[in-house]
Amino acid sequence: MKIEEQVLEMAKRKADSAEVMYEEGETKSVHFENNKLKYIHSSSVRGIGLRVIKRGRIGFSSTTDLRNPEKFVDMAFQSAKFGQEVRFEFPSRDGFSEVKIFDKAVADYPTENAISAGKEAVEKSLADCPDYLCVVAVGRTVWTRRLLNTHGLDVSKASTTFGNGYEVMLIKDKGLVAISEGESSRKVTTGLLERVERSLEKMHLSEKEVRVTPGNYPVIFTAKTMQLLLSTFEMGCNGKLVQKGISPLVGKLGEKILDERITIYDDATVDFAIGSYPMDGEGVRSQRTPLFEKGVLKNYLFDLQTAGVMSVKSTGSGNRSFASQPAPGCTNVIVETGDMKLEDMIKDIRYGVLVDQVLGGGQSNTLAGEFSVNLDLGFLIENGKLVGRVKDCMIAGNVFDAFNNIVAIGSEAEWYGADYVPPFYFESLAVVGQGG
Amino acid sequence: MERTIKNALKGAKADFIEIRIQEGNSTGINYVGKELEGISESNGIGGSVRALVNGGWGFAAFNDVENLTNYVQMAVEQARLLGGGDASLAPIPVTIDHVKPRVKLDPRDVSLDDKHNLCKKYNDIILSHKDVQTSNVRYTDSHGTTYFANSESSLIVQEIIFCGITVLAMAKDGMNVQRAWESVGDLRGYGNVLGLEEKCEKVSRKAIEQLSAKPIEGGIYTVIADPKLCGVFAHEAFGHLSEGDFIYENERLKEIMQIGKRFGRDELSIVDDGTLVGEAGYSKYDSEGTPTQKTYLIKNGILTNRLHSRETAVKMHEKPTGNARAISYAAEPIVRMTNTYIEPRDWTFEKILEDTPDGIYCIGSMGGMTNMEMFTFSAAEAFRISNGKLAERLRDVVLTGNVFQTLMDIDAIGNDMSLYGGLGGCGKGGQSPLRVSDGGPHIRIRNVVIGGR
Repeated sequence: MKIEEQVLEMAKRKADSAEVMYEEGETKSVHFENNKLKYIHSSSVRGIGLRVIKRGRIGFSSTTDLRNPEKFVDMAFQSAKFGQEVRFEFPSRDGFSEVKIFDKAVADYPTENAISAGKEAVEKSLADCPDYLCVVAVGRTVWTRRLLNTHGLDVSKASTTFGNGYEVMLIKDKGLVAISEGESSRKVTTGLLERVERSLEKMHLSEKEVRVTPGNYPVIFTAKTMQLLLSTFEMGCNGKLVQKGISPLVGKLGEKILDERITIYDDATVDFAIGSYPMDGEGVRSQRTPLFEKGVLKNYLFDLQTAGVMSVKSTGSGNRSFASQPAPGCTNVIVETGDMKLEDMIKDIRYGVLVDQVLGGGQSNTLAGEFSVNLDLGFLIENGKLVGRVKDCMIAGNVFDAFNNIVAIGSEAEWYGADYVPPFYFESLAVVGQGG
Repeated sequence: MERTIKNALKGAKADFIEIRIQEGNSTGINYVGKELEGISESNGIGGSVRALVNGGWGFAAFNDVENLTNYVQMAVEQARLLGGGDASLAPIPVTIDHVKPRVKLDPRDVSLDDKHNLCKKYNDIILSHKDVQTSNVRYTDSHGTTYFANSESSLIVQEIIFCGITVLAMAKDGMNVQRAWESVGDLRGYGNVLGLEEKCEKVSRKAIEQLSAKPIEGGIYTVIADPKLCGVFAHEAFGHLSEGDFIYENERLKEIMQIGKRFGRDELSIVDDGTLVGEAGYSKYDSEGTPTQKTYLIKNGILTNRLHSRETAVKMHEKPTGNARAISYAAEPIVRMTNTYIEPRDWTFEKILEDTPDGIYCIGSMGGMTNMEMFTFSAAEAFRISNGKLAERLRDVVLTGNVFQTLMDIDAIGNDMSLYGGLGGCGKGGQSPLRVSDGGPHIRIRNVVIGGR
């Protein structure tokens, strides 16, 4: 009998009900630092998590030490003495979304290819300027998750992830400029060189440093930076924060919160997207959940327990690993595109700023929508043209205000992590700095 | 375990090999509002092998420790696949040692029942304030034993006991949500998390008061930072820049970061000290087996040292400083800070305040970051200073500055001094949160950009 089956058997004897998650995976990645291939990293990890329900209370434990399952099962029962009152039942076989999360090409991807992809990226950068210092990482993971419970669920799913990250840096007399890019997917991606090219273009644009006069200006956030602003909605729609009454979106379902051009989904069913899965971490079928439709708040995201407490249904958002209990979370965040090209946004601005990297996200009161970030990589726009890099300044605002004062939404979305998002053109945000 | 590791090291075909195996257990308790969201005890084991062949590194991490020999082979093969490189290692003494934890009260001797009751007591205090919307009490302890051995015959066993708690209160008025918290966490044992009743009262009051604070207006300000924020400043505004892995292969930066160069006024000294027993960043040896030490990064305004691993030290013809730290068995050691602080001088806080007609007093921190050129950090609380006195409460205070300029703008250094650990930590290269502490006295910084609407 396999260890996860053993554990379930042992738990069954004492528990009202129980659930076991077993995961194992292999990761392999190659790392270039300072233009040189520095190391190859591999890891083979495995672990097991057990949730038990005993006298109506939830207990949990996890381990990577499979030598002594008795002790581990006992720890789960210990914690059930104090655990939260259970408000759900483990699902039996619920059916799964048809979504592709495994790519054999990732599993078979040779390390040599990762090395040559990295080399190519470094060479391309150095051909542009020999003083650049590049960091490149190319990696892949093959993962298996088996979930079984005392309600008859027993399902095993294999998934893959593939990703690369790139950073190019140039040291100057007074400071430095560093531009980073990256992509992640469940299949082998091929966009690394294109992202390198794009970064190099921005390096050129950064050569000239210009001052910005403090004030309120039109601001474009590129797709790369939108995560900063979207995190407020991700938190606000999190069923846990709603249940605790601290989400500013509590009690606002059906209300218009954002500009009517804005539609945002949480969607776990996009083939090969990094956040996709056929079922969540407790066996609930995954789905596409509208968060905002035409600016109107549509849904919060729930796992089983939080949904139980709120007397609603799980949205299949129980995020977890074997080492943690489920909690509601986003999968892929999809923002619908608008009708303006990025170039046209720039052309449209007489005096304003394009934001491409920020520093200090998450240090503000994100839940309340406040943001105040250093312009890590930003460009001044004058009379419809990018004229140079602006630095040593901050850009600040409130997300809820900003998303009610947009000029346009970009017509082309891009994947950054698990977000598929277009650039946004905001009417006015505060820019503060040493300039002027 | 020691024997298994020694055997695996034998017969491995590499220029250098090190093995780290870690086993341990941990407890976590998490109250959010009225509900006990999680309470669990977990344990684990895992290890990794790092091999150097012709100057190139291979690294393999794993959980099935019984197959250690296979992973030694895998790491060597990967290093070989790399096809050579220019990594080498500065010499360190061969060490055989067993480091036992020194705590008065070992959390393993406290029952889960007692730990739970403590969290519940703190949580009840916070929730007893009727204007508090919700609370979060998060307790964690862990005991870990790391077995380290390398092909130079060092064998070091280090045991660590970490224990800490965060108490947080959240208040809400419509769309306005404010929070306040305190966090303790270090290697002093369970005694550390006892007696925090007054802190629970304090965070509750603060969260509520914070609701009526005014958002700060963006601009350039004179700032007085409290010891906690001073620590974040030392860490973000300078500490990261002194990490050897950032400099060692960067010719331009070597020129900029030359030892002997002035970075601050005469009064400014910044220290990293991994030998402070009990502090969150303490270890007797780092993850490469190098003894930790007290290192002056800046002494009397002058750049004096930087932080090194064995690899960065040898490249820069300097000595390893015991700062190669891996967050766990599954990660490579990289150059990290330990306990970092600005040394106190002679200003009293009252004198700094009196001497500041107009400015912002910033207390505590919600985090900090640097991109090596610029840094940001945010204050958990802030007050306007007018005519040398504390005036109205402000919120949404995020400060920014240029790493290469801001240290010169520190023009008053206090005579008080505290170090702070906590449940958070430092993040770098995907390894987060690493236990560190930072601190210092009250300091005054001129020309700080603060974002705002």
